Amino acid sequence: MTLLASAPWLGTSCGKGDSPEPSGPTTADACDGGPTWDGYAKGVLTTWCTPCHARALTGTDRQGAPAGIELETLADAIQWAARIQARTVDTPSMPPGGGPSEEERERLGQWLSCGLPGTEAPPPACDDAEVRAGDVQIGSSDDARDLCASGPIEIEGSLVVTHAAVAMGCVCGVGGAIEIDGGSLQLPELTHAGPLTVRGDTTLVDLPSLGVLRGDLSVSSAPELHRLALPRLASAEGGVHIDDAPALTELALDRLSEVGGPVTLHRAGLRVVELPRLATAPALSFVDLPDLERPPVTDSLADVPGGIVLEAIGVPDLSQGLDSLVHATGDLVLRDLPTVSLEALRPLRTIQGDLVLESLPELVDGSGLVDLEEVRGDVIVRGAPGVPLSAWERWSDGIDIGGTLVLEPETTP
Amino acid sequence: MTRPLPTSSPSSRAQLLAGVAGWALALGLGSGCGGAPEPVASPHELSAVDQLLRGSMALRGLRPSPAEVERVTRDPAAVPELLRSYTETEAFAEVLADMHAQQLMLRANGIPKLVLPQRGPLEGIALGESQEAEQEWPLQLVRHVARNDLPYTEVVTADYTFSSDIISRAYGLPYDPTDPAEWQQVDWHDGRPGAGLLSETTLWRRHVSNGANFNRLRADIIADRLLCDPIGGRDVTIEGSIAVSDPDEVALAVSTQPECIACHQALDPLGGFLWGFKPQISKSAIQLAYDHDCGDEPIPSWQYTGDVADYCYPLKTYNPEWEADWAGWGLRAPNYYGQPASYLDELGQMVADDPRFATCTVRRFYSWFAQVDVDEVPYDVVEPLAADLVASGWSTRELAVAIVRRPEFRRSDDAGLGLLATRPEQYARALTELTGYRWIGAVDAGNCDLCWGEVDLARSALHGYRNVAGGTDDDNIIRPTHTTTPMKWLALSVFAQDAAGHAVAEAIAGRSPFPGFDPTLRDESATRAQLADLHLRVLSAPVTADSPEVDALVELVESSSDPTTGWTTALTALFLDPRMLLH
Repeated sequence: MTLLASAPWLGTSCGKGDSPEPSGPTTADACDGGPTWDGYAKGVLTTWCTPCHARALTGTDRQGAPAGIELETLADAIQWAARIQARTVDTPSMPPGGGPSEEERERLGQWLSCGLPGTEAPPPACDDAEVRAGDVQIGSSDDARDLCASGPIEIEGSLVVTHAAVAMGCVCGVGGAIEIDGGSLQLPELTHAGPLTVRGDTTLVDLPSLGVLRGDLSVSSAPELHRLALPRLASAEGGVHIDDAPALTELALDRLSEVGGPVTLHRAGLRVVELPRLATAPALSFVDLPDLERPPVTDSLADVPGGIVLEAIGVPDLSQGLDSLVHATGDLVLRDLPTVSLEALRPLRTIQGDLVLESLPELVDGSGLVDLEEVRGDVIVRGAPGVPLSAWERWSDGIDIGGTLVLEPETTP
Repeated sequence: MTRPLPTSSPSSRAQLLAGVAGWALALGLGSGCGGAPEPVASPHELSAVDQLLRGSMALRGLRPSPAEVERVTRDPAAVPELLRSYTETEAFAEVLADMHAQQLMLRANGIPKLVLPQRGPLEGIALGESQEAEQEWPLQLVRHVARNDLPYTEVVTADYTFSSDIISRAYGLPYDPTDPAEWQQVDWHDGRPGAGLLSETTLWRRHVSNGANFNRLRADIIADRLLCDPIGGRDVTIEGSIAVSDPDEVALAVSTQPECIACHQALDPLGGFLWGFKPQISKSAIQLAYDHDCGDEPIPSWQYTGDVADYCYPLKTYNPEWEADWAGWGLRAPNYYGQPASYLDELGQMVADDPRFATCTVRRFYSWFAQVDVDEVPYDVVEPLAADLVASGWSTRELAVAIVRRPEFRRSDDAGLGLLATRPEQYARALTELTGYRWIGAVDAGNCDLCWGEVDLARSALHGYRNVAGGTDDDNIIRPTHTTTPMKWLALSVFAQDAAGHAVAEAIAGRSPFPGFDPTLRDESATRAQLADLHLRVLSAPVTADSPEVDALVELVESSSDPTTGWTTALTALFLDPRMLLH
């Protein structure tokens, strides 16, 4: 997109009307092959100006740069050309602390004198998205093509995709819910949406730009789903529920740091679950994930008031993954695990709910619980024969237990 | 320190080099790089063969083969095609690795704190071996981009890294020992966002932060080396005095004093992206951690942050939990020259999209190939090449060929680039390709607690001679020397003589590195024919068997009654010819 036409003061020659005084060569020959916006001027303005003169900066972050004077785009440069000329070329007073070399200033002046030559890539399409009222139903690729025919859109209502494999680069946001029942969905530009529901024969959901979900992320009875990628999702106002997705091997939730509801991952083919930025969740439940190779949570996790359940997951050694959990505010349930140690629980000091250790047939090292001081609820140990009863008794003697103590390591629950 | 046994005694070495000096003087080569007398296209243009030679040395660090020289002699128009083919070789990937190593100061062999102690899973791993693995770790991405001609933006956007056996032991990355590949492409395992080199542990272990630096030094590396915006080198006059050792005074100044704001308004938010990395992990921290049994208690040293266990292998260098710690210090939130973002991968994409990355890439490549400073590359060179780079899909091959095909590269007079120095890495690569010899030294004496292992003497700046041979040490010497100093001459003389001795010994044993080379043949015509062949192979300059050049070489061969010494002297002379040291 060439913006020269939108610079009214430029006319056919430099130095006329409202234009700045030329400070460098102005002949066509001198300008030919001279500095351009992309090749030079944008870099200079980025280096010296946009750290203060940027739209995203407000208040004191602008360090005194007047509101409304931005120098990020070629259009900005055209708008403020005379001022740039005056304050950086003719009588250098910007940036306030100095810095640009004489050569840099002269070359910037040359660019201005030559008519600010250059082009700029169009702004992100979603900046100009049109609001589409009501709900949208997509049942075929033709529907998707029709929807995107008029350019980027913001869907005010819900988006329902049924049995269609579609990629829609035009969808920038969805005010209501997204429901996917069969097929696959790729929305590369989508940044925000209401609740997201996936079910049926859906195979793939790829939402690489989605940052905010205003509701639950819910996957249920989706036997074909193998990829659910929301790598930039930072916040879900609801919970994250995945249930019965045995083919799901790729789950990307790397950025998820805030959830408003429980995180429950049940019956899925996941080998890895990474939630490296999740510090708190109302509850966590990981059940029947037989292929899991590593513990499902990381040491960012500090507070789970609704409790943590790890049940029937394939992790052979629970030696890491809960490293920052010192005070569990709910229950802690470890059930039907092939783990040989509980080393990952070593930092744990208090549990405000119950502690349940059941069906841990391979467990031979319980020393990870040695520093536990208090359990306000019940303590139940069943089906952990690798550690003798006497050891469990010695261990429990050192803990302040508020509820019932059940030590039956030889008993199968 | 011990060195490999020389191929001749010091006195014979001196005699040999005296003979070599005589060779150079006899041919009048001491003052320049004339090349073979060939027809030239214009009075100022290098011959096609010399263009090929210069391009080959720049792009590969290797001499053209006799067949290539012969082809170009017949058809000068073949030069561009051959140059392009050079960029498809492994040697080109190695050249780009060398370039990035120097520009990012990665091969800092002499900084003791960067050593990985032989503790835990690294017990028994020689220090030199683990150091090399760590230094070459980020350069695998550069090699990967070059080998596959991937868009160069990959170096700031790749969401993967590479792992080796040692890297896996030291940093916990996955590694499959059954896979024959020494370096395996893997995903980051600790939650760090992938941003090519910006995510690489080695880079931020090399360039550290400290308690009050708040990643500013690291931010300056990004700005300076990837965007050619040396924020730390800006010409700013600070009014009054600021006690830079007083964190409170500095914190106030960087947000209130205009001449400080001018830089810190960009620098500090750039550093904000890097809080997920540990400020530093030094050798002593690792030793301290092992001395404290790798426990979970805070590490007992004011210099380091986190728990003792963080500093035991696998080292914990990044944690997403630390990413927002800048807020606790009242610092500016992360942004990229005014554009807000939070994560490393966003930073990488912003760098890739910034036109300064394109122009700076051109500056860095041109600087390396033309041996000029980055900021001395003229705008009228930078801007068209940057536009072409972007248009080519960020092809490093296209960029490199475009640079070495520029007019100034093809000129022989002072309006061109003048003579380019052969860097120690290039010289080593060329000699190894010619003779099969690697200049390896052993620095450990007997049983040792801290074994260093074998040292590549041409490439090491600690136990070897990279810095004295014109290279950098990536610590105290960060700009290469492009002239032939006495120290460079001395170092390369030893290397050349050892390589020559190796080649002659191999040939006598029936494993000649040069086709048809047999030092045991005694008749003069065979000697002359072989010397003419060697002249072509080593110097890329065809000569006849009765030429003055061959006359001078025959004299060297016959200067000793021992044919091994005589041929070693002649080969050494060729390896030390100015056309090898300059191109």
